[in-house]
Amino acid sequence: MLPELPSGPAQRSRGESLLRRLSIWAGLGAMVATGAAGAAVANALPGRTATPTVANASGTSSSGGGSIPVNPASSGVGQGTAPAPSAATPVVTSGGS
Amino acid sequence: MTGQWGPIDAGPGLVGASRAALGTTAQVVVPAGAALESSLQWLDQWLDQADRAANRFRPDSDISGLNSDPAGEREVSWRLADLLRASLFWARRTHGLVDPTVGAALVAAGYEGDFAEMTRVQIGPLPPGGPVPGWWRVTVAGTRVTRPPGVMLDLGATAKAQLADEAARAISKSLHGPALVSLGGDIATFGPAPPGGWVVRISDDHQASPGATGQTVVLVAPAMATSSTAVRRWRRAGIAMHHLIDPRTGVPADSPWRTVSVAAATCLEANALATATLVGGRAGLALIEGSGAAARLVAGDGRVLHLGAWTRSDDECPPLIWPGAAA
Repeated sequence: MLPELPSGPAQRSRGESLLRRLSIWAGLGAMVATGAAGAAVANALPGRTATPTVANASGTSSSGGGSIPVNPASSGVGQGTAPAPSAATPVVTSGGS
Repeated sequence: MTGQWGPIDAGPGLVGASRAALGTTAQVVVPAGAALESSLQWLDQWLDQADRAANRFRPDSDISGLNSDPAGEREVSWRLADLLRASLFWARRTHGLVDPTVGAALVAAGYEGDFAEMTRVQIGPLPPGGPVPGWWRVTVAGTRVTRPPGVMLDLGATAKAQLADEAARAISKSLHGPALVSLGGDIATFGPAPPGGWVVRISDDHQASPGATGQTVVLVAPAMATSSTAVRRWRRAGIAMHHLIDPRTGVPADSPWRTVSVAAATCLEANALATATLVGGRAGLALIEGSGAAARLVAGDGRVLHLGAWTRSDDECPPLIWPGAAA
């Protein structure tokens, strides 16, 4: 049975609260770990020219002189997206509204 | 807010329904055999409660009463207080790039009614511009809202996403299985993913045809949201307008990005980051990178940039070149 319409904000279970805290800490970890990459991302606005470098699927960005991690924390905490099989039918569309 | 639910093709093993709601489209998808009908009845009441609280275009809504109240303080419903509290939280987290005090700026730009009934070519004056009043002038204590009289609030950047999160959670828990709720293309899921995962199409418009430019991915994060200047556009005094106001200037954002999609732990976070990035340009990019979320950004010329753990597709050409570390 679905719950009655609430008369106040939803209360989260202890497990959900713990997951939420873990997510926040993972985000903070990403902030620390990607300090160098963040500077690069900040320059990624269209119209700017820079040394050509292409981010690859492993989550690193190579530029000839080595590679830097690109947001490594986000790949391990259930974030992001994965490739869809070519025959897969989209359930819904995410777009502007 | 009226409409009848109609079936949608959700693919093998899933059933779904769609209807007009909150000035956009509501969609819900659950496993085949689950009690979809009872979920839809509950969602009808849930959406109606939200509409009565936060629909700026409804004269009898709670937020309309707040916006027109000349007093500095007003008691509001718990629903509006909760939506406003979340909006203020994300205003702080985005350094003001997502600000609920843009209401008057939206009206000045010509967005003063239901978009479906709005005149798309307007002859009114251009908006005067100037920073919006600022989210920090608004406080919520319990259900009491305090703000300077005349400050007009709009929760368009956060409310639908928050409601999607809450509805997906409630339906999933009641059905003891996966559930997906989309409100205007802001997508929240809850529970274990169905076999094959939640397959989602990304496009400029959540109502775009399947053949429209975009990308198809499997959602790994629990939620995804997209902000775009390609929809809800109109012209005023010969100038193109859209609904995403830059709080720093008080006029529609002049963004290098046309569409920004973000996958994150909650739909509310995803939507706030997507809007902040579209409005804030470089400042928004730093927010995404700092959050650990993943994003797909489409520049005005159609080039695509992927950030974080967003899957790259070979068919997304031409990709936006990533600048080197030395740049």
